[in-house]
Amino acid sequence: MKYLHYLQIKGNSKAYITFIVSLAVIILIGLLSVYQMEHQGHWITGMNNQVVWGLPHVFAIFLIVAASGALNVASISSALGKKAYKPLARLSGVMAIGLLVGGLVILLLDLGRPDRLIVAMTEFNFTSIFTWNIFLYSGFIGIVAVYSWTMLDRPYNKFTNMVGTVAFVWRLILTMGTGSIFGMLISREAYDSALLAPMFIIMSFSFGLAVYLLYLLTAYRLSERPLGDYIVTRLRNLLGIFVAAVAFMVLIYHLTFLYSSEHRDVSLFILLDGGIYTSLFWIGQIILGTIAPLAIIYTPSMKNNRNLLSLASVLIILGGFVQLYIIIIGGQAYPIQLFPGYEVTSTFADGIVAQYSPSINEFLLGIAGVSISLLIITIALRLFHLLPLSLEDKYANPHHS
Amino acid sequence: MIKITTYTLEIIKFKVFITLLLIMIMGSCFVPVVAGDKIGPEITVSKAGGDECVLPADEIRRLHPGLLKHDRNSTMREGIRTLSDGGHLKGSLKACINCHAIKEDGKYINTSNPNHFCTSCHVYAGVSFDCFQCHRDTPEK
Amino acid sequence: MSSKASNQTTEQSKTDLTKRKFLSGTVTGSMVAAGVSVAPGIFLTQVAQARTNTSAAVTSDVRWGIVIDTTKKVDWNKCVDACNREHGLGNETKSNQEQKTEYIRVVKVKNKTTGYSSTLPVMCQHCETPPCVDVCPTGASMKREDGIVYVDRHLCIGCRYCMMACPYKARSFVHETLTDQKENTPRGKGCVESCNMCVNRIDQGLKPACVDASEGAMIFGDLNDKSSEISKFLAIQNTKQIRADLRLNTGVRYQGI
Repeated sequence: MKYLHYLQIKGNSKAYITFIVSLAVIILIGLLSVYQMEHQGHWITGMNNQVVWGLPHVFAIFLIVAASGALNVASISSALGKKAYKPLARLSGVMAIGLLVGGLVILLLDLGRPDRLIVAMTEFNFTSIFTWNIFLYSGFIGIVAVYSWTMLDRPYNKFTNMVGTVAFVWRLILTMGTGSIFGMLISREAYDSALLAPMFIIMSFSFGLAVYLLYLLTAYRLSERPLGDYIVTRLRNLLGIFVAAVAFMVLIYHLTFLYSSEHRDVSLFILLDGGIYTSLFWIGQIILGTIAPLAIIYTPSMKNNRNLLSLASVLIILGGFVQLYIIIIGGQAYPIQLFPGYEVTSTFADGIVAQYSPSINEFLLGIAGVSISLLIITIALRLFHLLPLSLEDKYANPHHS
Repeated sequence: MIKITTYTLEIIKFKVFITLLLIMIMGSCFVPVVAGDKIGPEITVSKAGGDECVLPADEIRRLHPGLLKHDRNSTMREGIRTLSDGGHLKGSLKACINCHAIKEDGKYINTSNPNHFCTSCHVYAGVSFDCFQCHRDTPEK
Repeated sequence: MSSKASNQTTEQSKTDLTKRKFLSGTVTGSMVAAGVSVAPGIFLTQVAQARTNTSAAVTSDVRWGIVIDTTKKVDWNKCVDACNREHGLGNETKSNQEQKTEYIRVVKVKNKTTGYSSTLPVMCQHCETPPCVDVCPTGASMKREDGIVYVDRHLCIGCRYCMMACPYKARSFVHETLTDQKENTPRGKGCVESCNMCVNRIDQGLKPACVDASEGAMIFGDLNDKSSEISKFLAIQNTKQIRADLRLNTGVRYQGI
């Protein structure tokens, strides 16, 4: 392999500046919306006492899951020793930090009392997965920052593999922690499953890589740097495997639920008679989010088309978003079973599927979080030597002669 | 002759900006004087409970956050609501309010009114407090 | 010597306080009746059914509980009203029905195959091992030593994880700014809240508001005291816990569901 030359992007193109400014504007609007939400209280959102976590949490958890997935590209090169991924590792680290920060900002700003961040940082209850996640998330940022530094600073390159391995193990635990936020809830039937922890890990592989690939393709096209087929093909094939793996996990999840009579109803709710959630599942998650991208990735006539590959990534991202929407919102909308097998009614919406329609404030907060992530990554691209000047096959392929 | 480059021009601009900023910040110290305000808070105290409180006034001024916090924890966590003689705890917010609340036009005033016992001093000291997002700020009866 | 003397004085004043409270009638109802009828030695254990000394920390010697007899045809809405009055609930002006706070609600349960139905009030079940306490990141969701589960709003950051974790849907989130709260039930925007078994009333030696309003269909007392009315009831009746399969060992039990 020839010597790789990394360089920051120039960042003076019209496209770059427009992108940065639009992100800043979206973030500003999002913050104004948050101010209104915190000033008024959560009554202006669609969230209520049954659906207690709403659209912001879907955005936040997507970003957090994608963050650990984005790190995979670096992990494959450092922890698993695949040289082909080494040129992509730097962006991978920075992207992981950016996505995580965006997600955490959303979670924080959606709190009932965001002014009490200091309480969350000083009072800990170690039986809570949330408390563990506070350490997992902040530790992740720290470790990946050190990891990125060892990659960027040549004298410290010798530590890269070691720190990279730590980061890889940490990210697996982190995603299990995120999955366990739901997996350890006995109260709501859709969540009461240990499968959620590994399922979230597989989801992170898929969503993270889709985000990474989309960003990489876009960045190389806009900065007019050459990107060879060798690396794109590898990432594409890997993405295909991950998407199929997620579909497999979803299948297993529903099969285990359908098998046990106590969980059968919630599975049937999502698969058959859940109204909006059923439509989202089949159209959003399965057809658009799974089958369509797999078709693009594996059909010989389409697979080498970069635009279609970008489209596949977008579909996987949207499908993943829909999947989390079904897990988070659908799982809450399904009524809590106070008396399993009995018909339950009350003035407090017992026994009926909860209504949830997100308000514009929640959407603006979510989009602002995504913009914060993109802003961090895109500014880092301008500041640090993250991307190789060229990823033509002669540079990217370690076996190229 | 000094050659003014764009660079030195930038430096000069920056210095002028910083100077103006400093003048504005320092000038703001004189605003109360110009506006004719007195230095020191005008606390509206209801003397309904007499001159005595749970501690001498200067100690209360310094220590009341700690008192309130200590006793809120013992009440919330351990269920301690009274002293052994049956009297209220020193850091009882309820007792503070019941004693120090003041009326205007025959009605107890809320913390949004600058004359409220708590507000009058906290506004002066520039210290925000969030007790009354949950606690009531007037006596119940 | 002097310390012993002061100890005696404290003991004396405690007894005085107990007497005072007793005489002034803050200890009321069936608990007192039970206390008077038995010998002086047992009297003390009987009095432990209501809290009298509020200057000492509560201990796990006592575990408060409620048993609800759904076979008695009582209008449970009276309990809901009493609860709302006691805690000043229902004063939201902007929240919709699903966003408003309810500490206690009336639930109708119907057996789909047989058609048998019963109506029961559901509130926080005051679990021995509460999921809401396990999941709370800051420790705001707490269980007092005497078994009462509630939220310390001073530490609540409003993350709502406890609401996700509660199998009884017992918790509510305050969705808007509140004013004019009850003195004994501070509650405000951005915090989670739930039934606290009227901890303020228990500490005064009173029974929870819903129990008082239940026309005898709810019994409140100390589950650890085998001679208490509630323990005697539980010993001879076939009572149930809601979602007993979760093994949370709830402090609230039901008869006839």
